[in-house]
Amino acid sequence: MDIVITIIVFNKNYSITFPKTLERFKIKRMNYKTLKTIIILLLSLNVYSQNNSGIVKYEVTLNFTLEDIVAEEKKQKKELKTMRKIISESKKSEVVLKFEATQAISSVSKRMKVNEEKNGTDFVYSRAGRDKKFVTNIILKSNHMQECKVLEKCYLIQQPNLEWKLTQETKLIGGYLCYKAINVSSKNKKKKPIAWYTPNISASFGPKQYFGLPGLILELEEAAVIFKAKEITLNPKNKIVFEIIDGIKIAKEAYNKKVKAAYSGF
Amino acid sequence: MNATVSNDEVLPITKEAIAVAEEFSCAGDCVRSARAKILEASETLGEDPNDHMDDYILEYGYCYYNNCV
Repeated sequence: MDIVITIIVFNKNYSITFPKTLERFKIKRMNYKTLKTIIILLLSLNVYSQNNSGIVKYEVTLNFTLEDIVAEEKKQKKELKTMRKIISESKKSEVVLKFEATQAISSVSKRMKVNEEKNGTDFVYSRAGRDKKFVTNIILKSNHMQECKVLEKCYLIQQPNLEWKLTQETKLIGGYLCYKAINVSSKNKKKKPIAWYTPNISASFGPKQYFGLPGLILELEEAAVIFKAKEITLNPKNKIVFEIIDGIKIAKEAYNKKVKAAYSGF
Repeated sequence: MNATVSNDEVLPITKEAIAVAEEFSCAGDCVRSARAKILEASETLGEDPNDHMDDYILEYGYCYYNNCV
């Protein structure tokens, strides 16, 4: 009879089958049971140490051009002044994703913070997440967004569950073979978010609220902006420190109701 | 005699009311401007404008402090 060993890594089961011929190995001073335990231990350590933790930096840029806006103006039969201004003033932003086996935090990197009160709103910075922090927990299959500016207190807003449609379309990103997945549960009326993930890095995380794919997201296209991984550090020497993200946990619908009530005069 | 006293009281209140109305007009313009910008972006990109309340607040604040203070 073959021996099947199942290892759970990042919420996924990996099965390894040992042929029965292995039973025929005769190792002195070590019985078969001990050998089996050592193999399991070594395999577990190996798989876990491959991509146990990491830091990914994404560059965030606009995902539409002036040509797109001109086409949209023809459809809407009016000049889209705000969209033209967004294109002419657009800047790059940077998002950092820190992850370990079961959790991840995504936020705009500190050095890219923008003073919008003085300089006016920055569209790319806004869509990159501004000062919000996104916390993903793989075990709970949840993502919470910390928002502290809109209401008086900090809230941890539970993000809707993500449904992905996996495709066989591939492309190479930074030497990694990536597969295309479409976020079919998105409520965007014009363009569903598209993720390019690599199964070679078995961390089911991505920028902002995106997670749950069988590999790390290296590129993410939203209607407004595109996130492109520009630096990946796997298993950094220094242990990743996860800051404490505090706030009142709330469902998105309940939070939206609170915002509507607070800004009813507007 | 009583009527004269009453008129003296009404006059300054009316002036104050005009000043408040002018202030609201500038703030109101900023509300409309911020709202129009957020709605234009949301409509063009198929997004839910409720997801960008922070944009709206910042846009309003930027407009108010540059035009109404």
